[in-house]
Amino acid sequence: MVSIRPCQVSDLLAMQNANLTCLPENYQMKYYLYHHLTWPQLSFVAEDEGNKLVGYVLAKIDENNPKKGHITSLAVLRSHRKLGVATKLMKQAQAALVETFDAEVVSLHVRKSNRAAFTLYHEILKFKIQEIEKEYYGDKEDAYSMTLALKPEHEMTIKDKDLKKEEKKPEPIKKAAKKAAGKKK
Amino acid sequence: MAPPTKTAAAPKEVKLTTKDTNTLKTLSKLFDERKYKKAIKQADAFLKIHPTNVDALCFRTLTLYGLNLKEEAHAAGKQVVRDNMSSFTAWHTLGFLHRNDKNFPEALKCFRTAHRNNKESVQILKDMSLIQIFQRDYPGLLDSYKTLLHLQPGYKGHWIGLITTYHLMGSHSQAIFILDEFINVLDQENEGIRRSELILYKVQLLDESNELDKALSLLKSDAKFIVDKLWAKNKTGEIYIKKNMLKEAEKVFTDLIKLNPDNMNYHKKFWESKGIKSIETITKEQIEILKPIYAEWGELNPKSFVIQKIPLNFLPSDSEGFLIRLAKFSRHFLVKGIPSLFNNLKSLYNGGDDKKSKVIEKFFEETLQSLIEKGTLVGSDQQESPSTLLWCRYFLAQHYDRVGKIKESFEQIDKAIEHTPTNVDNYIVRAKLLKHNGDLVGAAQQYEHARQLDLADRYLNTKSALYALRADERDNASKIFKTVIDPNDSTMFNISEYQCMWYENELGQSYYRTGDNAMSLKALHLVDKAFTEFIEDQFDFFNHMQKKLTLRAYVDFLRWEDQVYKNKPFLDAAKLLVKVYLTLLKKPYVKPVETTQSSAGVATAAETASAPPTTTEPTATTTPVVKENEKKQNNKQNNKQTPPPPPKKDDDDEVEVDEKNKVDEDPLGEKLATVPNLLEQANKFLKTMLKFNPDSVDAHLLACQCYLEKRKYLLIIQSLLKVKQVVPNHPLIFKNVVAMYRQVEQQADTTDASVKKILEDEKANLFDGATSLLQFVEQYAAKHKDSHAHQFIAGEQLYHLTKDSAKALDLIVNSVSSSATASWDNCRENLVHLKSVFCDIGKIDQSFADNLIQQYTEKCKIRFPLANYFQPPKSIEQSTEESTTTTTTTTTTTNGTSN
Ligand SMILES: CC(C)(COP(=O)(O)OP(=O)(O)OC[C@H]1O[C@@H](n2cnc3c(N)ncnc32)[C@H](O)[C@@H]1OP(=O)(O)O)[C@@H](O)C(=O)NCCC(=O)NCCS
Repeated sequence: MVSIRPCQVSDLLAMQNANLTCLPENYQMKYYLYHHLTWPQLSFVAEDEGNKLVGYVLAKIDENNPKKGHITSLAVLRSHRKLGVATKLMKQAQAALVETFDAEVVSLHVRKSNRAAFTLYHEILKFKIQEIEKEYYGDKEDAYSMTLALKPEHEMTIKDKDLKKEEKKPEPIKKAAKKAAGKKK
Repeated sequence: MAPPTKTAAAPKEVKLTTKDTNTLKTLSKLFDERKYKKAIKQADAFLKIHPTNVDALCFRTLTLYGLNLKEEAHAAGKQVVRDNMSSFTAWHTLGFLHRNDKNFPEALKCFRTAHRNNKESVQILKDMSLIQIFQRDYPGLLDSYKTLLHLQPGYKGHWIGLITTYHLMGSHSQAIFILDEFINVLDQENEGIRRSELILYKVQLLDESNELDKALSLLKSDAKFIVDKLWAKNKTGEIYIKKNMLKEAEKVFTDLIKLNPDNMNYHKKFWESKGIKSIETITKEQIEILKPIYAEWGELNPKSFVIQKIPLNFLPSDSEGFLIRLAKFSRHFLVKGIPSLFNNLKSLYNGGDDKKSKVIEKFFEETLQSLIEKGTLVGSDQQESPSTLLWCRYFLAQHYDRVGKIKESFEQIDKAIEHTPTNVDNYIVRAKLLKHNGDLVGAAQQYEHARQLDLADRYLNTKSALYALRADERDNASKIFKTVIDPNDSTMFNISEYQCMWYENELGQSYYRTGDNAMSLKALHLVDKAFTEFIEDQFDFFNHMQKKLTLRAYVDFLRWEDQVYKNKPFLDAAKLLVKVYLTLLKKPYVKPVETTQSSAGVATAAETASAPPTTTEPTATTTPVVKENEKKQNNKQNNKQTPPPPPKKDDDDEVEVDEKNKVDEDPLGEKLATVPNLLEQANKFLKTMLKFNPDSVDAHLLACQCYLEKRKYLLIIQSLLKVKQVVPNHPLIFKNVVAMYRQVEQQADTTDASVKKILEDEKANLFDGATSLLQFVEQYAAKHKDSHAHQFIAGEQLYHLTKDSAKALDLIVNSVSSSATASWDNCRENLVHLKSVFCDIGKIDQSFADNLIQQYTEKCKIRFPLANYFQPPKSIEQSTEESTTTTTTTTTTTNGTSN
């Protein structure tokens, strides 16, 4: 079973390790410390019964817009995926953004090819695509820049960008296809 | 880091013209812009006219340092000080050099003298205070802040500094007193998050000083200003528990569980409010209390696996409820194909109730049967999709592995693979099974197969590299790893830059296993380097925190830093470092004969040197905070994601310095392995290890070996007594006792008489009543017939004592087959030891050594047929074939030997 709780300084080493394990965008310890010492309320971790960290969300406030949250990084170890851990981490971070910083929106970036994450953000959490950022990542892959309204009064202003002209929106993974055994991402 | 105060210390003799003053200003500017080459020219020209001008001399010193001419800079700095003993600028400058050299104690001394020479300089005090925090010189720090406050009473940072200093010193009431003053002088206008932070910080101070009522009333009275409500609520609940106000606590934690049903800490506190200290020691009555509550919560929170799981923890295995809950809990995983079912249940295997694993086994075996025969789960008519059977087998494979049923575990996973050959997770489990049985090569291949099925998942990439390292396939690991990191740099460079400590530790272990002690040191030193970086990270956050007022987090941070060496990655590295140094002491480094193969996994000097320059523009500063990828993101997002960055270095001068850092000056670890003071090196790590883990058995046992080298026998006895307290029968206690008395006998002439006397007195105690060493060893071997580790060590010591090779061989070799406690990995460790220490270093007869290693290997091969360390090296195809054929046929191996 996986417990979801606010992040502490003593979690950061394990968080860094989980990040190195799961994602190609990595940071030195100092960057985690920077997050924690600036917005200690915003990041959450998931740990198993042996107190091993198995997932995290690293969140912050946009330095140029105090009402805008940003998800810097999110990952769950493969051994604990599809349990709803990422969803729960995100929900906690979103709640903290609203409660502590009165944030109106939260944004994030995701690789175009990352179907699991995209489905999570778009289908489950209802993030909208703001735009495509070309060659955003180190390896030149494009990113979707996505945004979610955290308060009802901002919902109207945030809609999926019409991508038709540029290209088709990625298809969310279909439930039926997911059921089949031996799925791939 | 800012250069020292530039306010000119008016030189005694000469009055400067306006032009001169301007030149000095330009000099300062050039220095700030890091245009060192120009700066040095200007300084030299200026000094021709004013050879004794202290400011110019200081700038010249700093510039030399900036040009990386550190020795010259120090010489110059010292000279300026010598000629101007009362100049604060001169001392400040010298302190600056020391600080940048990370010689903090010296820097502090210089700053102190500078301060004495100029009590009004805020800059000196600020520089000094940063080092005082770093050195945890609290009394000094108090003085600094008091003086600073005196000089700049309106400056927030000094207040904060004073408050946190009192806090860290344990003077909570002083801290609270000043904090109240500070809150009063703060402008009350809409402070928002900052105000909230200060209130909560005060709550923390009150809580820590056990002023619980005051803390509670503050939480209540200032509730409207508090924005971090989650923390406030949790703290309120904790205080209620401390005050034994259980009803109130229960309400708080019930509310919190509603907000986040998956926070285990809330549940634990909730139990406490019900008088339940822990689930392990729960009574029958208490179970009856929790049952209806969790039944209700379970209905309300179908998606909370924490709530769904907790009843499985507290319900007894023989209760009906347990089975019903188990069925309900696992159904979800099996039907939806969530791979982590075993991970979610495995805590039940080692709880107090050891019957749970039996119940689980029976339940899943029945489920399997039902799925095979009817396509339904037990007690249900609903037809399940075929994948449910797959996930059931997938679970059982892990279950059987856990309870030591090797044949069954392979059988299930192989059928699962047959069922859905495209399912990645199957191969992950199969790799794990192979690993548990010692087939590390097969495991690595299996994991690599999994990775190939989903190349986009870095998790698979990471683990595949890990499995390759465990199999000592360092080149492969590096190749796999390189697909996600910057391929232009060597693996060593990348792991170090990214502080990827798991890789560093695994690499170090792998090199050690294969006898490359020098490379092992090199990899392990990277872990130490990362920790040094963590420690130095402290310098970057003090000013930052003063702006954000996140004092709770900051104090937690400093306390974490105080204990940072407790973390496992450091402990792991330090243990092996000590071991390697001790090995090198006995078996000095020899330069490897040139082979065509480059040292695995690491670019050699030549490679590195000939690699194309990675960037045309100057990359990163000396401490890039964010890696390349992220930097790119930063630009795009125009979000500044970094702490206040060090000044940009975009001068040509700097590039040279940066590029220099990339060149690996010790590609083979030779320098590390040939330092003259190996024992001192070992000692350094040992000290840190013992300081932060005074109860670590491993640390004490390693300490004994160092002490033996240094002939500190009383310390050995002390450490052994400590170990005895924790693990009374640890085989290495015996080993160290014997080694110590042997050494004392050999060096009887030179051992201090009083020490000899103490050792003589301790004999009765340490020898378990035996009267001679030999008797002790023989008695010991007879007493521990069932333990592999004890037999092995007894054999080894017997040989040292008697040179009776037949008897020693018998004990050592037969320890593998005769005792149930042998596992493939401790046998491997023993074999590594035999090869690298016992036979290689010990004054041992060569034919005996060969014979010993050969026979030990042979026995291991029979006992652990899957473990490839004991197999002769073979071609890849051969080993793949075999690992697939042998895996399913092994039955006779190691029941219950691992764990
Ligand atoms: C993306 C990631 C964080 C999801 O974590 P998780 O804990 O498994 O996610 P959840 O269980 O909360 O999944 C929520 C939803 O996301 C979608 N989803 C998650 N994994 C999926 C997958 N492999 N394929 C398709 N959809 C997936 C599903 O719609 C799922 O809802 P469902 O279970 O009701 O169908 C995890 O896969 C991960 O760590 N990946 C590597 C790192 C990464 O990509 N991070 C995101 C960077 S922006």
